[in-house]
Order: sequence, then structure tokens, then C-alpha cells
Amino acid sequence: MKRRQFLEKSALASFGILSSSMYTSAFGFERNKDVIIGHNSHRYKVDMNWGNLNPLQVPVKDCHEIVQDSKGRIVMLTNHIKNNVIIYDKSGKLLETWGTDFPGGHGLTLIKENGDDFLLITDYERHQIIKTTIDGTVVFEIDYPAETGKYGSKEEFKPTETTVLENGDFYVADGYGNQYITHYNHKGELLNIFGGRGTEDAQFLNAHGICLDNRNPFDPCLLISAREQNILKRFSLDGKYLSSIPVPGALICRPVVHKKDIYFAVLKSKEAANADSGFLLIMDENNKVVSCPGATSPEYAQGTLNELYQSIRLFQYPHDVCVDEDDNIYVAQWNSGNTYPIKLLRT
Amino acid sequence: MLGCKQEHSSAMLQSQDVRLVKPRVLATSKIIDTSVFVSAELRMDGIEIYMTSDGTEPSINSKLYTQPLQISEPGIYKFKAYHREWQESETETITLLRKGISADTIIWSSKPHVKYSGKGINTLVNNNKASVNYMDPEWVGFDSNANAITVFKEKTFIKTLDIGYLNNPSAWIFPPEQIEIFISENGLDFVALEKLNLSPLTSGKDQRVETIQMTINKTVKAIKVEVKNVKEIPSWHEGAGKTAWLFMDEWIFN
Repeated sequence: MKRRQFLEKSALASFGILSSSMYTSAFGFERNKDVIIGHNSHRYKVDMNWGNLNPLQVPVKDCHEIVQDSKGRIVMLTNHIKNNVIIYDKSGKLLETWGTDFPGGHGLTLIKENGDDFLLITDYERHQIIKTTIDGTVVFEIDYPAETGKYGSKEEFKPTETTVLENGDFYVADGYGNQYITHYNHKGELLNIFGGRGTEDAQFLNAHGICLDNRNPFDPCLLISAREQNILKRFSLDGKYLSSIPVPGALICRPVVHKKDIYFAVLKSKEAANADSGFLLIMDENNKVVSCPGATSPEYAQGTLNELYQSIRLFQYPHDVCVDEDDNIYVAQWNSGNTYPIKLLRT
Repeated sequence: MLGCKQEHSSAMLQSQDVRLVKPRVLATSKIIDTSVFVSAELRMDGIEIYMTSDGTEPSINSKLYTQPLQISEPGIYKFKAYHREWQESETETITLLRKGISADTIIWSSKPHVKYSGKGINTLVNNNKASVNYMDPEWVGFDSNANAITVFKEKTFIKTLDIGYLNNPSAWIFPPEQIEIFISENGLDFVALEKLNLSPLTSGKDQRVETIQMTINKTVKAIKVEVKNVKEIPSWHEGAGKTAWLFMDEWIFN
């Protein structure tokens, strides 16, 4: 117990989060007040202790992505090959770990198929998409789409994300590779390819995340983040560009649709004095940004969103969010000193 | 009322344990011809920004920043954000320099990386400083040493040379390891004048535009500057052993 406390303290102290005893201020602090971050309807308390584990037993490198399975468990993917998949309950208690074969484990998507849970994992070092059962048995592996002629070698394919339709079709975003979006049927047979690297409407710079937007069941579409460009792009299911939603200043990772809203981890601010300048971003049902936990307040002037940037040094490099049925958020972070996820409680 | 004593044993993160980010400080130019405008902001309710103009650390007893400042004097200006709930920010520093003596030509004997060649061969003597963003075309980036001769129209008394460089280890951009100055009275024969070794970075995530001042105090026709990049990225860094980047934005001859 003592050791655990020490580890938590030292992890906090090293990244702009200081323990209060180290500080005295003449500025009339309101002391001992729970942090509340976010704006408008979406505000949160912060639990830094959630999910902390003994790094000698269950280590993490980058915490890349998190999903919630049908049993309500929180399933996290890290690129640490001692235990690529770490499964928690919602209180942060460790339930199980598995996986030693995903050195570039990055994208994690839940598939529900005839009452069973499966996972789609993208691995940018293996240049593959891997489907597994929820307990880690491999179902299939997909290599780079050579038949499209868009790739000279498998090394050009560095997939970062997947999303699944109700009929089992799925899409893969090649966010670290040639920036194509590939569309497969449930067996993993290629149906379509679109996108590609570039600055045209239908192209991407860092197509980092993809998500089915089925909030309107009569008009589903794909949401794809062009992270380097600070833009969320909407595409039809057959790969036609529909529209762009700019989020100035925010390097958005994958979109996560939850109820009527879209949630994002923002890896970092475009302009910031410190490089570890990430935050979170939430859009409402009209795709308007309503809350940016850890950053400046989103404000629109003549329909244009002002530039967003980190305001407090709480998050380092958030990489994915998972939102549970109580609207609490689990935040996985990249390159953040091997730290475990952070839980935000909706207030 | 019976004493509703508040319970302070929350397991949640407390606001005084989290720092504000540094205020955003912008200048219309960092090189003063007549005057420049400097603004500071941290867009958040309840923020107060305090500043100093004499190089000392700001505190809540310093001058409260209220609106953009028109500044005609070179100097070191420091800004710090405060809020009654959050921990105060670290200090943001902006150094304003007097416009220097114009160079006639600059002759490079080393090449910047093709991706970071700035605005051409005169980028370092064009009287424009860069922002902290390394993609700013006012930066010239080298993955080798940077050597050049600056020639003046006339023989000119040069007091100092200010070399602006970028410190951004997370983008593998490091301060130079060594700067060596040679001077020439005729523009052909050079003699060594000064050699300065910079202490290597031992850690760090912050990105900063830095300036180092070299003393000249000579009347010269030309100055040769040799800036040595660190040989390899130090062992504490994720890129240990690999090639570091050297980024410079301006050489100002005073």
C-alpha cells in the first residue's frame, strides 16, 4: 500500500500536477476543492487514482484506446507486450489481462455478433488488423490491401482505427500510413477504398480515427478525424465526402459517439508553450462543440469556433475516451510517463 | 445553523494541485524598429495575468496586465497567470531585441535540411523572429552543423551578436552544443574570436525560443559563425543516440 501511494505521488508530481503541501500561495486559494473541468452541460470531477496498477506486474507503455464491453467492463489496449489488453471493472479494479503479440497495438473496437463480444485491433507495427474474441483468441488477421494498387509494400499500411456497421461490415482508417479508408464485409473481404493523403475535401492528413455515426438511424454516416488538420470529416457509408467540421487548435483523435453526443480525446493543442497540451472535446447533437475539459471554453462567433487550447496542465497526451452508461469518461493517454487511465465523473 | 463542517477528505483531484498553462504572449515583432505591440491571454474566467519588464519573476504584486502594450524598449518581459482556484502558471518570457545592423550578404558553407530551409538563405538576417512552432518558415533547421559568413557593406563596429534558437526536445530539437565566432577585417582572412560551449539539456518537455548573446566588440568587415549541433541525442531522451535537430531563426548584429 505504501509503495502504491508513493508511485501515485511521484507520477503526479512530475507533470505539472503538484501535491499541495509543496506550495503556499498568497493568492487566497480556495483550498480543498474538487477539480471540476469542462463547460456548459458537460462537467466532470477527476479521479487520478482510477485503475492505477503495480507497474512491475501489469505495466503499460502508451495507453492507446479503451472500449466498454457488453458486460460493462472497461477494456484497454496498450502497446506493452507483457499485457496488451487490460480489463477493469468500472471502479478501476483489475479483472484480467491478455495479449503479448501487439507491439503496435493502437485501435480497439468492440463488435457485438450474435450475443458475443469480439474485438478489432489495429497494429501499425504488424501492419495488420486482427479480430479476436473478447478473451483474446484470434479469429482472423487482415494484411494491407495490396489488390487496390494504392500500396507499394505492407510497410506503407499503418492502420490506426476501425469502426463496425450493424451488418458486420467494417472500415479501417490508415492514419499513420497512406491515409486511405478501406471498407470490408464481415468476413474481411475488401469492398471499397477511398480517401488518401492530401488536403482536398475527400483526403486526409493523419486519418487517425473513424466512427459510425448512427445517431440518426435513417441517415447514418462515417465520422473521420483528420487530426493534423484539426478537422472532423463526414463521409457517406459508400465513401463520398459530405462535409467538414473544423475544430481549430484541437488535434482530435477518434470520434466516440455516445447517446446524442460525440466525444474526443485531443492529443494536444496546435499552439502551446508546453508540448503535452492535450484536453478533451465534446460535440452535441448538432455537432457543435459544447465542452472542452482541460481547455478554453468553446465559443462561436458568426458560426466559427474560436481556437481551442489547453488551459490547465491536467492531461498530457489524451489518446482515446470511453464513455459509460452513467456518462463517466475513461481517458487513455499516449506518451504520458506510463500512466494508467484517468476517470472523469459527470457532475 | 449547526456547524455544517465540510468534509475535506475527497479522493478526487483538488484544484490547487493543478497548474494553469502559461499565458499566451504574442508580439507583432520581437525585433523593435520603432515600437511593437505585445499581448497576453489565457482565455478562462477569473484569470489575472501579472507581468514585469525588468527580467524579474512576476508575482501578484507586479503590474496587472489589462490590455496590449506598446513597447519601444528592448528587454525581457515576463508574464504569469493566476487564478483563485488553480495553481499559478509557470512564467512566460518574451525577449524583445533592438533591430540590428543589416548584413550585406550571407554565405553559407553548410546546408539546412531541405524540409526546414526557412525563407531562403537570408532567413537568419531578415529581421524576423519565429514563433515557437517549428513549422514556422522563419525557422531554419539543421541536422548537421550550421556554418556561414556574414559580410557587411562597410567595416562596422559590432558589439554583440544575438543568436536565436529553438529548444523543443519533444520534437528532437536541441540547443546548439558550441558556437564559435571568427572575425575578419578584410572579408578574406579570419581569426578566431570567441568559442562558447552550451551546457547540454538534461531533461525537458517545454518548447521555448531562446537567445544567446556573443560578445564581439570589434570593427569588422565580416563575421564567420560556426554553430555545432549536439552530436547525438542524449541518453535520457526517447531518441537517444540519434541525430538531433538544430533550429535557428535570427542572427542580430548590434
